[in-house]
Amino acid sequence: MPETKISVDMEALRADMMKADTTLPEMLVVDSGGERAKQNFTVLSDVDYQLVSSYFYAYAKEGTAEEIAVVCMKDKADVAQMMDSLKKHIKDREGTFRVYAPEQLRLTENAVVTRNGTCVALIISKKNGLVQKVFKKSIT
Amino acid sequence: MVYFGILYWFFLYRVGGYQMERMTKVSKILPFLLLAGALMANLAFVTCQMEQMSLHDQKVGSFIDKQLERQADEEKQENTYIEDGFRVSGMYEIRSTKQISDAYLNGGEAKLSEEDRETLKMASDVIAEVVREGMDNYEKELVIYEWMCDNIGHGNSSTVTMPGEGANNYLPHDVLKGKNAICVGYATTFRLFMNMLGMEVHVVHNDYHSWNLVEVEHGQWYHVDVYSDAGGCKYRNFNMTDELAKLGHDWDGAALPEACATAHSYAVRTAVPIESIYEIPKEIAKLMQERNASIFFRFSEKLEREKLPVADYMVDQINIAMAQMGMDKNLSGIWYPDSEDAYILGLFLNDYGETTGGFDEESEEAVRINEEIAKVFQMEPLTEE
Repeated sequence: MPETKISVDMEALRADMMKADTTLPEMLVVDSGGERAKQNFTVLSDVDYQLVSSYFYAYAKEGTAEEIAVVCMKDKADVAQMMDSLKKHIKDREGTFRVYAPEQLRLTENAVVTRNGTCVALIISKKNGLVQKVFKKSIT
Repeated sequence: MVYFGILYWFFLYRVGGYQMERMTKVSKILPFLLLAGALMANLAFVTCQMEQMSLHDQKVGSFIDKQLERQADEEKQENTYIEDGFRVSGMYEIRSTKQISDAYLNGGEAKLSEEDRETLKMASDVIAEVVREGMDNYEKELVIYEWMCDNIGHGNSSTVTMPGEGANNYLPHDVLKGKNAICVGYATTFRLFMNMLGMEVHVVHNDYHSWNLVEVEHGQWYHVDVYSDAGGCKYRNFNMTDELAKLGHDWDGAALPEACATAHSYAVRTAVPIESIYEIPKEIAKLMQERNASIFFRFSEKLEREKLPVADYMVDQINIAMAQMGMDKNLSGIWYPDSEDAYILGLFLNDYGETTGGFDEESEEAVRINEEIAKVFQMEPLTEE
């Protein structure tokens, strides 16, 4: 099974995806380039960080539901596992919001987990359809 | 183990010369035969292993592909906005008219179907009639909107159907030809006009209604519901923000641009300056002569949010006054966001006494029809209440 090789400029991808949703609040970003990359990743997913090629994770500064993340895996074989892990992350967030901020639930309920090649995106935002479109187009 | 055995034997053969000299010719070639056999066995073993690994790879690959297919199927259900091809109310399909607007902008009319050519001709004639040189996008949008409000009637209201006219009043061709439309017809025809004028536009829909989202200026999108305004008050649904549109519309905007600009809202562009809310009744009196009129007021002083309920009281009191006067009219209002947290008051005067079907039910013809029906059915003539 040949591995799908793709080229991803994560910084440009992040900028384009976040620009697509003009309703996003102020967002904080962590990524695989940071010193605490591995530790920060555990907030998003419990998948073994060794399997990850690169990632970014943007989340709302004020703690609202908005999140945009892209995780690129080293191997196509781990993509499905990553998708399942992000879905689990959404369920966890839903649980939190159900208790503490029910008005945010609508966003998490409409969250999108999608893939393009070896990259997986998590999109929780009002304009997740537009963000998804950018993700699908940006990775070639 | 086999290798070590052979090597040991070979060592004895080469090094232990004393013993080797006493060996027969057959025994001399035995190590070579054993070595060859071992190599052959090893080759067969490796080949078998490779086949097994290949089979394993295939199984893993197939598993991954199936997993990804499953995920892809889930994605399809998750968030895809279908514009062209969607059937509003399960019946009225939104069909692409890109080929027509492309032909208008870039030529290539010859490639169009006969029906599309006819649509292009009708739409081009309207543009030639109402759009003037030097108009900006807002002005172009406005004149097309006004033309549609004034010239396209609401469909599905005729009891007696005219063959060939308005049969498909959800398609721009039949809308422009038959001059009546249902909501999908208004939305797709408006989209065609906007595309012909070089503007980006979407048909927004839910299961039962459709309207438009148009980019008037780069990055500035507005909702326009021509269908609702053609049958009611003009400009009420012209260039609305998401927030305003939500007062009367429901849609999934996840895959559609945000509409939050107000610079080209009709209220902002046309609001009449007014000193205080007490001047409004006088202005409303002026509107009484018009059918389905609307007016927008901008106050000289910024209205605080807590003062907004005053308008509710005023509108209610005017409605009571009109009812007491026996007027079949209704006044309603909307606060429109203006710049710098200020508000514009939009007031709409609906006239229930008029019908939009094009036939006056109080005319002599109507009276005559009711008398003839009464004669046949031996009853009192039906009257419009």
